[in-house]
Amino acid sequence: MTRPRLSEPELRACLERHERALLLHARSILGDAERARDVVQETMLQWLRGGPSESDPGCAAWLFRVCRNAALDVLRKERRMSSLDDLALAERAATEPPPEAALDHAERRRMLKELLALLSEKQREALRLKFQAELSYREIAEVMGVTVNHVGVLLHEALRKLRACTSGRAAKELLS
Amino acid sequence: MSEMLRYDPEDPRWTAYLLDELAAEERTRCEALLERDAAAREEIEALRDTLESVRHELRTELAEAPRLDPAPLVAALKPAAPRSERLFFYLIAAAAMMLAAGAIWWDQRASRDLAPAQEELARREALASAEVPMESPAPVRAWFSGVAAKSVPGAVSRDRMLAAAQEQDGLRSLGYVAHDADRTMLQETGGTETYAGLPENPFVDVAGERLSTFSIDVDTASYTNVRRFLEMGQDPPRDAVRIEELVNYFEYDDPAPRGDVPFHVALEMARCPWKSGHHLVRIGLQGKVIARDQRPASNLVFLIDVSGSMQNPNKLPLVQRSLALLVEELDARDRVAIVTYAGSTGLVLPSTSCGERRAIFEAIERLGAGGSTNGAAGIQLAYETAREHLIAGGSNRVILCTDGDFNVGITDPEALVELVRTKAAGGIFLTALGFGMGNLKDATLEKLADQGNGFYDYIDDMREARKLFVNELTGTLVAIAKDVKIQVEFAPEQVRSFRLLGYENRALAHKDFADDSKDAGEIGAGHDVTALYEVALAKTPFLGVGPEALRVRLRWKEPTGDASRLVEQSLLVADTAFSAASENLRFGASVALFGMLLRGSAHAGSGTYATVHELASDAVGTDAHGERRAFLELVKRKLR
Repeated sequence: MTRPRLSEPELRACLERHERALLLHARSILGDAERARDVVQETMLQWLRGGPSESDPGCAAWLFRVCRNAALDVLRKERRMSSLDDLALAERAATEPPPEAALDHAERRRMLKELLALLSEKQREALRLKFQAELSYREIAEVMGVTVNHVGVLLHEALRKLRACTSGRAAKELLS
Repeated sequence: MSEMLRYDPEDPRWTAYLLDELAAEERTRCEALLERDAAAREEIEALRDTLESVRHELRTELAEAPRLDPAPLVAALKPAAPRSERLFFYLIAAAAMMLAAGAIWWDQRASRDLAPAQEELARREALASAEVPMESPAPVRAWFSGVAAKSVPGAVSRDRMLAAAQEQDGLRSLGYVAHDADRTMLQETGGTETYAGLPENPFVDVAGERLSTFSIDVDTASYTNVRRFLEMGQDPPRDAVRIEELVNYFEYDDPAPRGDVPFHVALEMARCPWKSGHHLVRIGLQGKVIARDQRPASNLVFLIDVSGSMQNPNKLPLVQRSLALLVEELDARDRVAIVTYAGSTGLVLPSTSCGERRAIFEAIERLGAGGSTNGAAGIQLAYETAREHLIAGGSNRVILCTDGDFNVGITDPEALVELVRTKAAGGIFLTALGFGMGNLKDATLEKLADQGNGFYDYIDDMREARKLFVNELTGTLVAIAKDVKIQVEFAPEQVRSFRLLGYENRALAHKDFADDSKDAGEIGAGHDVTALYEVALAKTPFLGVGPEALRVRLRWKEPTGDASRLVEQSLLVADTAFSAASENLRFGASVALFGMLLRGSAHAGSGTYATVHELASDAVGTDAHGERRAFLELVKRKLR
């Protein structure tokens, strides 16, 4: 299916709204900003070719699903080639601290990262889709290919775990 | 659902409550509990702190996230107007592709087809196969009954129906709703479903017969019906499997048409994966897409069977929810009327503008089942209503919703078919939607839609309704070409024999190809139509590419025209490895093989269900609506 040409303002509006969350989502799967960028660019190209219009309520879920599939695909292809060096590189990229910028945030960011590391991959993904992509439970379910109930469980358990790892007050001190 | 009398910290509804994802009723219950339980209140406040901290941090991370360079995307928006050296590269690439695929585009100079060729190259490289392991949902307790059904208390019936539609839609697609009702039905009725006999196309010797002529078919009912059987753990009756309807159920990403021909024709040849030494030929038609806001106005008359047999939850209630879904997509330009037939025939809703949705929703909700069926009288009233409000240049259509059970008043099915044919000639088309099961008269519905210049689809759940009325709305309402016929002429020096996969009941006499009085299939906006041939070549081509193997001729008429137009295109012999063929050919072939196996075909060669799964999983592509992945799940049922 092809669609009529979009205007540049429409493209820019879509980028403005979703690209950062898409990049973070792809990066959290791939552990690498560079390939995340490629995957998101490909996602946006797919969208230009035939995605739902930006005003369509299903648009966000569509974008994150395509992005997720593309990222997993990259991962699968790489695992198939499975060069140890590549894996090591990816790992290093994943744990590298964010460069410069906002040094006052750096410490909190590190703590958040440590805390998030305590969660399962799925729990982390659900949190990102909730708070960064701002998707509803139903949309998250659609993107991750799980039930709506399961999304509820993932988020609830993630928050409970985070809360248990910090005490109520400590959480505030650590995070805010 | 648990009553939430006591505070249970493990209940995920608490997080849903904090995220405002609970339905109003449950939200009130949570608040009431927090009101009386101070300890619970404290815990929830602590959970809220954690949640807000995490939200804050993740939002900060988001605000600081890098951004893309928009330049390449903005460039992709612009029609191909590249610099000279890039133009040269595109020319080479396009020429190479055309040579390799052996396709000759009619009626256009090479430069006009550069962009699709380039796109196709990029697409194949980038996202060749995106098979995603779907995590099977863990058996989770049903924690909460619904998520944020953002309905206003006391709002009109529309909201209730749409919420119900979404509910079932979501639940079914997540595997929640078992087809128990279906299973019982089948046992009860003992299968009064009828299917017309469908002998399989044989291999034809080109020395004796070099032509193959057939009508296109955009029906997809057979796929949905086959899926229903397989999901119940049964094999479908052999004659319920129409291979072309299985293949055409899926979307393919052939290039969009350019120029004044309303569809694009893609031709391709590659080795056959189930028969060594044979090759497959794919003919792919891609109908032009019409943007939603450019869709012509619609004048729709729903002709709804409300006989006793429609009473099951997978029939009339599904009709109601599907209609609500459709009306939601329509606007003030469009008109909807509802005629029922059940003993006595009635105009339940006079033709009403979709600007007055409330009246339409109320009429939909009032529909009730009861009485016996008289299809003929209802059809007459429906056509009269459609004629009274005929929109010139619009989409005028009677949409028949039934389980196919015309059991009163029809003594002469031929008279009915004749009526439908005459009305179609007068510009009112017929679409037949089969609902439910148990006494589905598959052949009757297919024939009616065929003669009525419409199509036949089978709706078994909200997935299907959504596909038809939301995802493919313009294709459902707007025909872009009618009486589309295909004639293929094989070159005897190159091709020894051929076999058309499917289209058994669409075969035309060769002489009818150029006879404009002979009816054939219609293409809706954005529809894809695929035909596959299995061929035995006369000789192995030198260096993989050979002379002209076949010539495809297509005749079609404008939706309101009387005279047909002709386009012609030829395909060179190509000994392409199957794995190097387009995703379109590979996926289509896997679906065709699936159909052949279900039919117990004598021509499936070395193909097994495992082959189908393997071939299809390598050709899932982007699969925007998840249909190809769902197909893989269906195939898996036959692997167990």
